[in-house]
Order: sequence, then C-alpha cells, then structure tokens
Amino acid sequence: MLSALIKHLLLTCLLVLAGLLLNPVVIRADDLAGYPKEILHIQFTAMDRLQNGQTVQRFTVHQPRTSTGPVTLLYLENQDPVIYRATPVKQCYAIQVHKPSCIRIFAFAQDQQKSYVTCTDLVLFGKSKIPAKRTPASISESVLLRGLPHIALNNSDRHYWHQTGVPLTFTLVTASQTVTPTVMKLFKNNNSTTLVPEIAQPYRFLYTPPHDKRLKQSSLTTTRQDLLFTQVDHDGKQYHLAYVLRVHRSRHAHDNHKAGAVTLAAGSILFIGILLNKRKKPWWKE
Amino acid sequence: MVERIRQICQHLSFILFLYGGRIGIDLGSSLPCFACPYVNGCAGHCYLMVLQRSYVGFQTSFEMIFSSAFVNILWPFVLFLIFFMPISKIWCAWLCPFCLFQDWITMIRKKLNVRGITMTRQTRKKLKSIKYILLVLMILIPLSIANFGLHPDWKLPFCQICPARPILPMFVGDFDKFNINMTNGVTMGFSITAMLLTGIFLAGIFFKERFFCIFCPMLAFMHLFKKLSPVRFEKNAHACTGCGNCERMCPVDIPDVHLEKGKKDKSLSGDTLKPFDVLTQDCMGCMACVEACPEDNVLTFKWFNFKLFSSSRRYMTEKWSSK
Repeated sequence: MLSALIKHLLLTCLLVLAGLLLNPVVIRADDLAGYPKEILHIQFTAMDRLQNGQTVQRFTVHQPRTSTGPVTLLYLENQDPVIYRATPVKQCYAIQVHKPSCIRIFAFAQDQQKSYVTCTDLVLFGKSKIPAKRTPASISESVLLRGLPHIALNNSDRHYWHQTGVPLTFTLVTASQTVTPTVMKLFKNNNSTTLVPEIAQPYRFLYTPPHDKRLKQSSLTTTRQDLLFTQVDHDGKQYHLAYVLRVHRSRHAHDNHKAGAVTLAAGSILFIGILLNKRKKPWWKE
Repeated sequence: MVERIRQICQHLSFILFLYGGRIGIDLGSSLPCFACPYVNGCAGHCYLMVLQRSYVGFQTSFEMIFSSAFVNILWPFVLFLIFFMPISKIWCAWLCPFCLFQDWITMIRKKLNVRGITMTRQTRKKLKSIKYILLVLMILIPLSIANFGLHPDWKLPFCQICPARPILPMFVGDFDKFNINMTNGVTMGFSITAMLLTGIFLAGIFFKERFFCIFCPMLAFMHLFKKLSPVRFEKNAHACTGCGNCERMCPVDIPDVHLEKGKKDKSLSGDTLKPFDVLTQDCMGCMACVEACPEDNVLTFKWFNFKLFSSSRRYMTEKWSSK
C-alpha cells in the first residue's frame, strides 16, 4: 500500500514537473521601440563573469536623432574620486570590475542647441585578485562631469537590487538652484506617464515601479528598463536629462502567507491521516 | 553520560550556527550539517546550498566546469572535506541544528506520552534510496539551468523544498518563509511542494524520531566520503549475543548493526571474526546503540586506533538502573 502511495506521489510530481518543463515561460529582451528619439539612452545587454573572477557589464548607447557628435561615457566606481572613461568597441561599451562595486554611469552628448545627459547606477560583483583594466578620464572630461545637471536616484548605493513595488526617490541635481521645477516623464514598456514633483521639495520625484507580468514570468535576474526623462534650461542651454532604472521582479510581493499556512496544515493532516488509516494494517511495527 | 554530552554539544552548536554571525563568527559556506543560510545572522551554512549555486557549484556552464574556473567549485568542496574528515558523520547527531530541532519534537512527544512508530525493515529499505535521488537531482537541475535552458527559477532546487528553510529561521523570529510564492508556475510549484513537505515532516518528526534524517541528502553525500575519515564504528561480531538492543535503541531503526555477522579473519586461527565497520549509510553517529549494548567492547567508535566510546556491560547497567 505504501509503495503504491509513493508511486502515485512520484508520478504526480513527475507530471507536474513535465508540465512546467513543457510550458516554459518566455524571457524577452527589453523593447526599445517605444522610447522617444530625443533621449540619449543606455541599453544594458549581457553581464558576464570571466574565468578570472572579474565581472563585465556590456551595454550600448543609443544617440538622439539630432545629435551627431560623439558620446562621452564616464563612470565613477564606489567612493573612488577618480573618474573613468569607457570607450566603445563596435558600438558596445563594457565596464569591468574585479571587486564588488557600485558604479554610476554618465552618458553625455550634445548638438548645437541641446545637451543630453543620461545617468544610471549599477552594482557589479567581481571576485578577482587581478585588477580590472580602466581608463581614467581626461581633466577636461572630469571638469565637464562636475557641473553637469542630471537625475540621480537617492541612496542608489544602498539599494542595489531595485524591485517592482518598492518606492524610489529621484532628485534633479544641478549646480545652481535656478532651474525651473518641472515634471518628469516616465517611459515604461512603451507607455509614458508623468511624475509630479513633491510639493515641499520641487526637485524630488517619487516613483514606485509597478509589477510586470513579463518580469514575473522570467528569472529573478531579468530586468525591465524604465526611463525617467525631463527637460531643463540651465546656463542658457537646454538639457535633456534621463535616468535609466533597471528593476527586477519583486521577491516577496507575491508571497501568500495564508495559502502557505493552509498547505502546511494539509501536509500534516495528510501524514496523520495516512498514519491513522493504516493502523489496522500497519506498515510500521509498534 | 554520552547522551548528555551529545545534547550539550547539540545545544552549543545550535547557538553557534544560528546566532554566531551576530557576534562576527563566520564559518563559511561549506558546513556538513543543516546550518541554514536563510537564518539571518547565522555563523555559516550548509554545503548543499553551495553545491547547487552558480559559479561555486554546479549551476555552471560546461565550458567553465572544464576550465581553470573549476577551482571555484573545487575549493568549497575541499573546505567541506576539511570540516567533514575529522569527525565524519558525527556532525549529524552531535552538531546539526536541524537534528536538535527533531530531538526537541521527540522530547515533546515523549512528555505527552504519545507512542512513536518504528519502521519495518522493508519500509526502511524502500525509503533508503530517496536521499540519493535528491542528491543526484541537486546536481542535475543546476547543470540543466546553466547548460540546457531550464528556467532559472529552478535554482537551488533542494533549498526551495528543504523543511529546514522555513523552520530554522523561526528561531530568529522570521516566520516569513511559510508562504506560497505566487510569482509564476515554477515558484508556485516549488513553494507548494515545500509547504506540503514541511507539514509532512513536522508530523512525521512528531511520530518518528529523526524522520527527516532518513531522507537527508547531506547524510548520503557524507557517506560517499566516509572512508576518508579516521572515524570508524566497529562491531566485534564474535562477542555479540544478538540481543537486538542496538536496533531497538536506534532512532532511525538501522538493522545493519544488529544483523552484521562479521567476516573471518584469515590471519588468525580458528573461527575468529575480525571487527567489521558498521558505519552504514543512515548511521548518524549518535552512539545510542553503543550505549545500549550489554556486552563489553562489541561496539566501538574509533578515531584512528583511539577508542572514542566502547560498549560495556557496566555502563549499560548503570545507565538503565539510574532511569
């Protein structure tokens, strides 16, 4: 009787597993089609761990239609005061680290009327004794970065794993406070919405990334790229500022504790039931 | 006496493994026992998790496995062996926090005067292979994720269904692991299985001492390397009267110690039987059988040639007369 029960359970498990395997969930790449063309946009691609333990994050930069000049891509690593420059190989950029690092990336481009600044943060976990190759930025590039208005994610170094459903605060950072407070646009899954600044702090914007069916169906490491965008006039020049936010699916928002307790109780009752039911013809000896 | 020492060791290790991290103790991630990494502030954790992880375990592409990066998988395994070799499976009954949890449940049952169950040899035999199946799946599933495109939510397959994952964090006030993760089909399947198994094991542990240990893949994994350890559990079959106390007292009903008849020692004359190693695949080294054996030196736990504990009529008589 016990063997029949075990066989039945194993068969059920196998069928469930087969069902899951034969009905795989779809993982799609981020879709860029819906983003406006006047934004300098960073598109993350693969993250690889090299055999020597270093980690590489690759990405491409999509220039605005009107900008014809080169894109300058600078980044800061941890609290390191040195600013580094990333150079593209076949239009693909790569940032390589050998230790756990919080990285803030700035992409900058301009045309005759406008400047484009896009910022993003990422955390990479390198584990190698071989220092990663980095190119320090020139002095002029470092000076350029210091006065650059941009959108910053508050406490980005403390929350490396941004999840849907968790509120995030963004600040409009400028060298002077003369910039007119503005609204911020948010582009997500080809749709755009408007974020209004907080009344008390006109440079701060609160955004809670909503849950996403595609993210839920894919792995924990899959990300969605939300893009925050605004236009400001600064020092007589128009700036198109953007922030690329990568969000993962929520780890705990979909946990159902009541269902867990009921299933736990069902498991216990099932075992006790089998035990009591087989008392007349026990499969154990007393 | 031995039982008392064992209980003290179990309680000390429980405190060390579950709370040690809060005072800065870090024993790494290659421990040969169920010190669960899901416990906030633990001092170290179970090697089985590392075995299933990416880069340091088998969730790694074949390309990486067959390269110099293999050292990343090998190194935690070497650490595991360093922990395991000195005391072999004595880790299980003397140091494993989940084993102590099971002993607490058994203690409650005994206080409530509820009679436990004893498995028949036939049932035991049928259940024996499950832990090896789990061990194989623990390697095959991560390999399939990294190489054959299995959905990544299959990661850490054993940890996802291990009953220690929701139970041990309770001791640091974390009850959040009792849930069904509704994110997608895979997470839901795993969490339903986990909750059902936890329920089954909680009830099972109540009626059967160390019920989970019968299925524990760590025990299976350790058994594969037991010959590397200097710990031996020997039976001198020549002096055994076959009373069966050892099987009756064994918390997991191992019959092998009782049934082992030994082999003739060709180097000695007559019918002399040489001591035989009875550290079987399910034995956790709790030494309950040695304590219950009424004959002198029939059952002996050895560390190289040094006797750790040996059966004696006097010890057994004193123990049971005091009860």
